[in-house]
Amino acid sequence: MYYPLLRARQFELITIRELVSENAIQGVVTPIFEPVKETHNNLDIAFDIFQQGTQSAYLILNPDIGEIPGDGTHYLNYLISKQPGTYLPAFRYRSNGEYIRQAIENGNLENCMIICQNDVDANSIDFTQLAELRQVTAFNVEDPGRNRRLRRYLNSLQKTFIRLDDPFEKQIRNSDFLTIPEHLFSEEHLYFDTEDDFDGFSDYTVLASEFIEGGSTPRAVVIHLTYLQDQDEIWIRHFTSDTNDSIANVQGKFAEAAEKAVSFCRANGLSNAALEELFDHFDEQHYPGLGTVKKISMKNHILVVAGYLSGR
Amino acid sequence: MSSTRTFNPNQLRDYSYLFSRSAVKEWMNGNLSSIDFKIKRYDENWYSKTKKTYIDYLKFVYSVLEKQYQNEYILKNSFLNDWLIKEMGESNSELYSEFRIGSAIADLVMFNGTSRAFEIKTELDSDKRLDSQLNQYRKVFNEIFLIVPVSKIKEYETYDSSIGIICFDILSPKRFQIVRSATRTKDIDAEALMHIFHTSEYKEIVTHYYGQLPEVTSFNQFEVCKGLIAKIPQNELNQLFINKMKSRAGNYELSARNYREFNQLSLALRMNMKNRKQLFSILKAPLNV
Repeated sequence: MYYPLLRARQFELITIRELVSENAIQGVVTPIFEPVKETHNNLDIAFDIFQQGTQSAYLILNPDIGEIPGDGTHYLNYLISKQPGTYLPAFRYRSNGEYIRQAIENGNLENCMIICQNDVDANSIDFTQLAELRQVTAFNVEDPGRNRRLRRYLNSLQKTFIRLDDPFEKQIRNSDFLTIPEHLFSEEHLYFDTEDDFDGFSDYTVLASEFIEGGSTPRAVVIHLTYLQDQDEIWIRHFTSDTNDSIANVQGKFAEAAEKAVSFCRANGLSNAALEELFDHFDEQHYPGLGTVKKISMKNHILVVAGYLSGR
Repeated sequence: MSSTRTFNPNQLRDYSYLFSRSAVKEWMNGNLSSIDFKIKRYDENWYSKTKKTYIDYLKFVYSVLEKQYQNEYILKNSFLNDWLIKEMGESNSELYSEFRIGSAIADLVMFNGTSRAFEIKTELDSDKRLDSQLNQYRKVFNEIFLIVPVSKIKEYETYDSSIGIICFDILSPKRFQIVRSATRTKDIDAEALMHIFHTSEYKEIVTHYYGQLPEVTSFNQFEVCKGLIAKIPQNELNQLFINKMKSRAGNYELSARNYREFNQLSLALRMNMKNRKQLFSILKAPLNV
């Protein structure tokens, strides 16, 4: 199972909504959403579509970032207000076992995921009391190879154990991607269960893990596309605009980046629902907005992973 | 607090942080700890003697900086208060702080019947980039002024004689004085303008001037409109540019009298009346250190 970790912003939710509507990820992908807005409108729209499409998604109830970060009750109350089974509870662990245990008890929660860094002390009572709760069924650990004791302990619990990697190498400026050719992005989908003995793997798709509120007009437009190479490794290409000396004419920059992306995909016979949407915008000389550009990149990546997992 | 007291440079630099964008953004969110820190570090006596509000303390810090640490904020703010606000009162004007033109950013620009760019060079600034900055400003502005300290007039007079020079001496009663007027030009570079306009603005200008927008796609609209805009006679294009920049007006409430210490921040953060009121209502809280 692939667990993409996404901020619950508009275009991230649209991406998953479309994939669920197209019946493209059920059974192989379970997204994890970190809410960053106080309002729930986008989560509400997604909920109905997920429920109809029998897709579940984790919702982090104590996000690290956004408008209401930290150990609170805002998202817990939201989760409780929904029918169970579609949004599943997830918690970020930061030596806050007491808070999480209280939330699980007060909210009567089941099937909870604990997301943590690899610096957790597997001997700490705060952590073990939480980890051994019946209601906690999954662990998502960043770079777990660096804490053998934790890994041994979690394996002994016989619960779902997921590794989180951050393979996207963000550049200081978008235009820096111009000089980067294609390169290996990820092999987790090949080895997470067969060689590494995990039940699933997580990443931030082709987005940077760092959270930036809002965003300004970019000097360069980049379309990040992943695809399967011969050995089924996932590679990435960054299709970057060329005229990056000012913030003017973002539409023209998109045209430059899209031309490179579309020619590459067509020459290599790459196609899926996300790429088809890109082809349509390009053929109609239509600039769809930066949110949609991001959506296409994310959607393509999830389709690449889902296609591999459902085909093996 | 005696006005003759001398402050050490580190303390002045530390004070000057209070007039930065990031500090003000924190205050707008109700977080006044950056001010509390300065009071604890330097001014506990001031606090215990007076029991005043945050705004009183900021006014005190500003007055110290004004006398002893004339950084760019103080200079810009003084120039706004002493010069531009007066001029604004006389006409329907629009002001911008940090206005980008190509690779350069003009410190202050003003649009009324004409367009003017002001570049501030303090004692601490070098003139290394000045030539290339002026080259950019010439492409779109009718008049360009340099604002320089009295001690540097000679040095800057050697630049292009069409550039106006305003000298400042913050300690004299008439702090800003015109040394040389700017020569007015109306040459305007369509390419440079295209990088200033928003998409809707350049489309509106084409529609307004030619009666309609030709058929364009989102991929070629920039190039098509640029070609058409380049054909508009310079005089008219200049006027269209000025009108467009004035129509971005933000309804700022700059005032030479009330909260004059904060005018430059209001402008830099594009605060409207409501934001400004909100900021001052937060800062009117009694000190709570």
